[in-house]
Amino acid sequence: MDFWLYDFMRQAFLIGVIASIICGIIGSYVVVNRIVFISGSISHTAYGGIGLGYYLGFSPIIGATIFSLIAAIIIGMIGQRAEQRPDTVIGITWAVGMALGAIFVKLSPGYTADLMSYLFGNILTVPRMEMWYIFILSAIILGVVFTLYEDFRAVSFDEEFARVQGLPTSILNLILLCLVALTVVILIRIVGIILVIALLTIPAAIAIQCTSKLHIMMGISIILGICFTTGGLIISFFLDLPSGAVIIMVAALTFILAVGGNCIFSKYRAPRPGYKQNAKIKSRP
Amino acid sequence: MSISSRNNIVIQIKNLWVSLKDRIILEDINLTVWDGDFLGIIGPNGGGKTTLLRVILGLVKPMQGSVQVLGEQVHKTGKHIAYVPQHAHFDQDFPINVWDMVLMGRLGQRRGRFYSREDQAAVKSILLELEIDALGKRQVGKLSGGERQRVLLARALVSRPRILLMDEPTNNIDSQFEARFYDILKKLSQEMTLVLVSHDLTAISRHVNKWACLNRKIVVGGKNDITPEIIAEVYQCSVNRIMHDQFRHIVAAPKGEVFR
Repeated sequence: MDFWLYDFMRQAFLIGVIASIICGIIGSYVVVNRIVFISGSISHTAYGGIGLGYYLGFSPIIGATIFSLIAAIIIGMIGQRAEQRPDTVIGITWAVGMALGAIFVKLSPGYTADLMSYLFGNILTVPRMEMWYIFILSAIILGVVFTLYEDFRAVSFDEEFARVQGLPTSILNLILLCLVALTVVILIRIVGIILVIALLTIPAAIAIQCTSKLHIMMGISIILGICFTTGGLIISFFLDLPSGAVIIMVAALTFILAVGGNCIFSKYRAPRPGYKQNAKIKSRP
Repeated sequence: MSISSRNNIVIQIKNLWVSLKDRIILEDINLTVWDGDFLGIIGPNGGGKTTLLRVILGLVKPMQGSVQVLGEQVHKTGKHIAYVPQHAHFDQDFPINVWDMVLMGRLGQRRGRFYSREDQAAVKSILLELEIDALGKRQVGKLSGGERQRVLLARALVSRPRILLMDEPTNNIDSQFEARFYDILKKLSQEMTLVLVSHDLTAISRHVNKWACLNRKIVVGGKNDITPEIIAEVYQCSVNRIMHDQFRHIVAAPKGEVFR
């Protein structure tokens, strides 16, 4: 247990737990809404903001927040109009964000050493200020989800019905995408821009197989997320490997095991020819 | 609904034109539905039946004309109007059970952000009424077609609406439940205004007190107009897509209200 002695490790565990809570909640909405690639686009667009932060000399994480929020609003607004294909807009936003990032980084004076930590994450080197920033974003996300839980669920399940019931569905969708953007900003520090979608969706994708209730799905996702970040962190500490990548590998292996296990289990459970479905019920004459 | 309010207009459509993707779907529609009416809408595929319902619900914006529901513009009427869609647009894998789905019918009525005990009680009673209380804990993706149709009806009715719109609700229902379904509708017609889109002419003629044939334009008739000849005529209209102008004079009998 000597990793517990290091201050940076304790802080990393704390951030991992907070991020897992947010990730489990928002990730569940992402998975049930099937907006995994919208989330991918939002997170990659954040790279433009990180580049801009370097170039103009303010905190890259603030730049990431601004850019991912803009991406969320663009995708949300255009996705609601039928004239454009949403997938095209998602792809273009994705690429433009990365391109802007590359240009800004090249223009930036000096050495941009920790750029890799934004691309692949480094939970061990989060500055104190950024840690507080993550906590504030988490509190905002939790507050919004707590107030709008039922509304989000209704819009995710059957948007047309929600609209007939008088819910402002366009605004709700936009708010949800903005929450995804803020979640992405939190996760960038942990697993990096490129790996965000995996951490956002793997816990929820496993959890959806276990339950038919959204809040239980969120609960399972949170627990899984905590296991993945904590487990990945410990493994990366002992093997001296990049923490973000190890966290994703732990999550992915669990996902493969869960899917595989589910296949075998359902095969075992499935009725076979000759199997009496209602063996206990006496057939009526 | 008391008898005195039976003379109120609940849906009034005047001079309505709707186009979708540069195609005219509805042309100069005039329709008045009174409180307590049971209106059946028939017509060929692509004739605009579903679009008309969606306009009444405020889901489609008209190109021209006015639609008033309960004396107000459509977008404010959410609480009083309910809808049973032809195709349920939800994801089969969505983690939600029947109980929670029906509870969503109370979205417009809930006080505060969450559902109250009153909302839960309303769900319980509607599930019992439609004899699907055993399905409560079932995940909605695992329902059969007929079960899903009943759940959709329950979700629409749980808000105790004043107007119920139904789009081909008997499509996936077996004949045994279909008879039961029309019994339920008969009972509901005492309490609320019903609008039923259907291919099933026999059902329309037996239960409704007013009908409309829709094929871009609309022809409206009263209960007494529904004679076998007219049914045959209308059925032809729906099968062979004869333009309405051809049979307009048939229904333009003194008894019928023809809005054109």
